[in-house]
Amino acid sequence: MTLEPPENNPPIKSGDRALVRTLLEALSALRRRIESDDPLVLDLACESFLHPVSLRLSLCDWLETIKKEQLYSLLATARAPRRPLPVLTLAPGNLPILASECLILGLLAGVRHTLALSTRATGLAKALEKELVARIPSLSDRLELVVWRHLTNDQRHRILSRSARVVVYGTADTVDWIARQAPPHAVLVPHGPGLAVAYLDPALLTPDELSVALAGLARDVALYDQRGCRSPHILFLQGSDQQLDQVRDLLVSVHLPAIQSALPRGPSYVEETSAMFLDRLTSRSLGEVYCGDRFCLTVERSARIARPSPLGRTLRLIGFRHPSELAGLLQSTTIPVTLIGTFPEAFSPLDPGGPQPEISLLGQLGMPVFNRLHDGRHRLDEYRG
Amino acid sequence: MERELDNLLDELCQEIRESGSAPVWPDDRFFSWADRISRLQAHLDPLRREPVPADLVSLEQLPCVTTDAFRYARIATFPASKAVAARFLTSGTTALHRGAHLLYRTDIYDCAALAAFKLLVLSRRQPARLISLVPPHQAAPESSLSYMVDRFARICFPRSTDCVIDHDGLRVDWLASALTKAEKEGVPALVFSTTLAAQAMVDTGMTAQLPPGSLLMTTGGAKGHRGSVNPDEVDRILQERLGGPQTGSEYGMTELLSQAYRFGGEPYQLPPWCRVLAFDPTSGRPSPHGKPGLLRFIDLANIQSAIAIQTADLGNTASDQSFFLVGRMAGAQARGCSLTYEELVKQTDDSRAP
Repeated sequence: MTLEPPENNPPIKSGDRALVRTLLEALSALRRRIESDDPLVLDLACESFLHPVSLRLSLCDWLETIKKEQLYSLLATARAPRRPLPVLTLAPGNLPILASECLILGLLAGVRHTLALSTRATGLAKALEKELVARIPSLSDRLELVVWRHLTNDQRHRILSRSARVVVYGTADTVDWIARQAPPHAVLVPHGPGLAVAYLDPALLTPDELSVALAGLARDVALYDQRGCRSPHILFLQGSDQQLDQVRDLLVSVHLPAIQSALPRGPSYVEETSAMFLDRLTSRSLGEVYCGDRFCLTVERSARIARPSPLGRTLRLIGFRHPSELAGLLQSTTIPVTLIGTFPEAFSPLDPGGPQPEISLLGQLGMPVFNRLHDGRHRLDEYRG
Repeated sequence: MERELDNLLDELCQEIRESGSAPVWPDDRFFSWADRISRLQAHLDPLRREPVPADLVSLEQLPCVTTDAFRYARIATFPASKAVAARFLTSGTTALHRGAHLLYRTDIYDCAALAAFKLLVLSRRQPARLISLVPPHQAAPESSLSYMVDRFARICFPRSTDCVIDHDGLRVDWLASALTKAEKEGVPALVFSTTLAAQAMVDTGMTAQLPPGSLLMTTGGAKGHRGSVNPDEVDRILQERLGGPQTGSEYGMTELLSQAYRFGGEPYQLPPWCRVLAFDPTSGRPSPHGKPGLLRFIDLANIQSAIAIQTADLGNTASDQSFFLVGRMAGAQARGCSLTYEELVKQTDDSRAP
């Protein structure tokens, strides 16, 4: 592990060194709480509906990946000078770590930051803030955490009107609403949802490789329960009906059930339950449905549209024969797609002139940090202006 | 089989037309129809993978199709080679994801919609003039609502209809003229409007004194315009501004050829060839009457698609086949980077600073 930034980056200022050191200390303290019997993880599980065992594992995995080099690298990639620009971030509510990443980015950017949290992800960011303020008392002058839903309209208006930049994570509805509410002088930086889909051609894999790939896929599905943009909703399988049947059987009888013991699923919230109920009925009209203990696999042999899953560890298995069919399916959704494959270099079915999906490796959802769970456009520049 | 489908359509049209004189269908009559139609549909639609149980004993057992399925597959009991007489599209953000309800015969829609309107609305109020705030059929040929209101106008109000909306939306001058005409004539009027058009009418600030016995009937939520329109509030304001007409609501959707109606705060009433069930999404079993569940309609008029339609609407049913609408089930939390719109715009009851 190198302790210094790459040579082509500018030299590190002493202030940056201190900031990174303090941040890492705060994250270490947070990790100790997560690994201990501290009630933090249970509190986070209650508000996020993620299972505490899976949550603890994924949080430790996340914290493990935050390294000094990466933080220096983030600082170096932001071209604009650090200045106390007033920034409002409306953090997403799907995963606890995203708000904390937003907090870290604001801190590195040196902005006057109001971080508005979703009710489903407050605890981790608040715990990190506490650790940071204990080490940098002056931080409380330029960092404010609020829960958006708990604010009155007047309070929301006040926060919006004083913000020079508004970073918002959300659906088109959310972004539109904020765009209408934000003052004309504010720069809006929207981040939309993303859809991860996996791709596999069993003919290119040995039986052992196929098994490893499917185990990795099951882990990616289970980690964060499909609420992150890299947690796959669909497996596109190139090949015959027989190959599709083979993969279906392996997923239903081996890999999806096995992951339940390693990364148990949390309770379903009411919208998720209803969406799963409706989705299973719809999927029956379109193909086959195989439900096991806390997972579900839907199978379509001739799909026209790539439907996102309703969460709850619902994975879609969609078969296709020719790469052009996959290209059509990827273009059937308006949500930006991340493609996850066993060896992406072999994958080139799309029109080279058209929008290309981002490609990741199957079974490696955990890497790299700061862009693995969202749309990959989450950058320090956005906070610095 | 196709001939059987035609025969069944003829027979059902006849029975529906006769419902005016016999508005209550006994359970066994309805059940017998549902059994016949669903078995035929299972034969005719290759997508209907779930078989109808040989010993069908309750409506809950009928294989159902969700409203979403219309977006992803051709839900039709007639071959794709057969000419389509009507292609009604559901609302949607992109044409790609809009569901289609295909009909090769529209007579069943004509007779079901008209019979329900007469049975559930005109039997209680007798307006002599229609003011329509629904886009005309020529302007929206793929809207089932426009088609239906067009039929009402032609058949029930042949020389007394004012459509005050066109391609560009509400025509304020046309609306003013229609309201003045209704006031002068002194005969009860029916104002039939989508919720969004009713909101547009509120925005005009226009007032009128509609004659006693008039009715304001609104329909549809405000899809794509969430947060901006409150249907109850719109009804209240218009009732105040139009001289106190009775308010009412129509409940319908592209995927259903029959409609429910209600007056004021009453429950929705269905025509006798349509029934409603509520399902608990957690257990997947029917919810008891009075407990909210996801509404599933058994609409016999849907012979050409699927008679059992599962919706995402939450409601309470009653033993007399009426129902209250509780709301629409929001989809599961969107994946990745999503602060849901609902969470964004709503405030907790105890709004407070953190």
